[in-house]
Amino acid sequence: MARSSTENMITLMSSDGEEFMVTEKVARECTTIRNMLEDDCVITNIPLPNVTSDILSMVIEYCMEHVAAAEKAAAETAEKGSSSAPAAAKANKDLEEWDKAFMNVDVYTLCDLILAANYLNVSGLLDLTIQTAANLIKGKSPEQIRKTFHIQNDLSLEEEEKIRSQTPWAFEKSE
Amino acid sequence: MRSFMMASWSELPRDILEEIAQKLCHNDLYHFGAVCKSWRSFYFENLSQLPKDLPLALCYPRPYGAPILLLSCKPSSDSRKYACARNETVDRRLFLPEAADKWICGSNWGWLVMAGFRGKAVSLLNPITRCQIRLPSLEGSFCAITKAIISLDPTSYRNECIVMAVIMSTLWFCKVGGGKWKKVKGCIRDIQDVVFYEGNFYAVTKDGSLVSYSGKDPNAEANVLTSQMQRRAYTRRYLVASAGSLLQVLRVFRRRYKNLNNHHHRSYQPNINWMGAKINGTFKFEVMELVKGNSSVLRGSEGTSEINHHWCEIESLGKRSLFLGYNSSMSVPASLSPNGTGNRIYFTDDHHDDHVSNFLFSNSQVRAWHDAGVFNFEEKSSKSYHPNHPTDFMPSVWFTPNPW
Repeated sequence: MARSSTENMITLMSSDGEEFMVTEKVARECTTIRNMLEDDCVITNIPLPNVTSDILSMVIEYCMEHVAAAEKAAAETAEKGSSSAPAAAKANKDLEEWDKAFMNVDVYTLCDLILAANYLNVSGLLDLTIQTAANLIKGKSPEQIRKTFHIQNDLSLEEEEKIRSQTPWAFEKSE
Repeated sequence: MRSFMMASWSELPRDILEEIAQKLCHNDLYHFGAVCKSWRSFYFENLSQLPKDLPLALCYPRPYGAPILLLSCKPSSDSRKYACARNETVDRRLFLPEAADKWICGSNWGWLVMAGFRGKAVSLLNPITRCQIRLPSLEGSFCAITKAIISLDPTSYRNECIVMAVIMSTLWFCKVGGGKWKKVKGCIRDIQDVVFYEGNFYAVTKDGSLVSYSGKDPNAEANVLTSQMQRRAYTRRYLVASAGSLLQVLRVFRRRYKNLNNHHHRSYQPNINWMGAKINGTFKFEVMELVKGNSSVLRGSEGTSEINHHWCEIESLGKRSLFLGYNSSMSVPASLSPNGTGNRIYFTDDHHDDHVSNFLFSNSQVRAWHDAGVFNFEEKSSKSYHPNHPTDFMPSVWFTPNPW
């Protein structure tokens, strides 16, 4: 994973004991880790008891892609002396496409990704996953939302009756 | 491999639910709040955290929050633009197909009283939940209700709630639970406004006398509480229950004639376009507070017209603002008023007859004309508030959001 030997490497350890070597730059995409590094700069091994290896590898994949995109943009700017607007727009679009493809996950994975992004404080990933969840809710009836997210309907009959009588339209099928 | 995390969507932490909720629109939020127990309780506890331009965010403090202005629109429109009291942007809409082709003739407890243009159907609508309650149909002509109020929030008091309406300057009522519309006995005429205050209905007549009716049975004895005042033309009287006291507000119109002295007019026939001739704009407001007499005197009296209360003019509304129109008369603390300022009177149209005629006879070709704005009670000056589009015939309406 190291792109140059001069870069500091950090080891992240998932809850199930798997180790991930990443560059400090990639690790710093997680604000939680950045804060740890700033508090204690010799730290090289960080245990993350709240994140499984499956999810951690996805978070790292996201951070690496975004670091690479930022580096590429910076390099182009340096080369040409100024950034060319069309190229920057294309790079942005490519990254958006990548994000979109990255969000092709099931709802369990999405839920875990939200929690991991929240815990590690990766703002870009948190925005992306939250928006994906909101998009899954939009235009759906409560029953369709439950189905989508595999949520048990634990409302009491009285509660549901009350909602039904107050807002019958909420139960119309929106399709 | 789905080992440790495997969190369930219904157990997401509240800060994450909040971020998801922030990205949803009004309708989706309602669905969101009906999914499961934890989402539902989150939804009700966090309405105030929502973006400030969503009506649901204005529902606090309970039982109802900062007034929202439904802006004027075309009669058949299935949604209404709205302006939130604390925010002047007006590009959002509430989807309200139930309100299309209806007059909104009343607004209190977060509910609208609506009457059909040509039909006789009357109903209640909560614009936040879109819950609708049908009321008995009215016999008689169309658009007869000039103003209507409900005594209690029908969400909690479905069977006790009474709808009181001013129809042809007399009072009619019906129970939300059932029964026909009935004319209030005693037949006091020239009623201009009615409010529900401290458990009873209070009505004011054209000459300023105050009459009270039982809040449980309006057909029981009526009490005339104050004597007549000087009659004043080009005015309209309102009653407002405000912070424990009862106010009478006099809205004074400017009388103007248009085109009547137009010598260049080629036609020598008299100008029969009365709609163009009659334009009354609001000029100013005067406010009086009810000063109660000795109640023991009232208890001892058998008569229906024991007069021992009187009105006293006041110079300031203090930290409150009033919202008046033929469909609303409410008082709101400054903290919930636009820009957080009190001592203002927000007014919407009160030209019911003009509006009805405009709609029925003009075929929407004529420019609509609205008399709506805000009156600064301190400086005695008024300015327009959310100007209306000239083709929008339906008058704007203030309501307080009530999602419960």
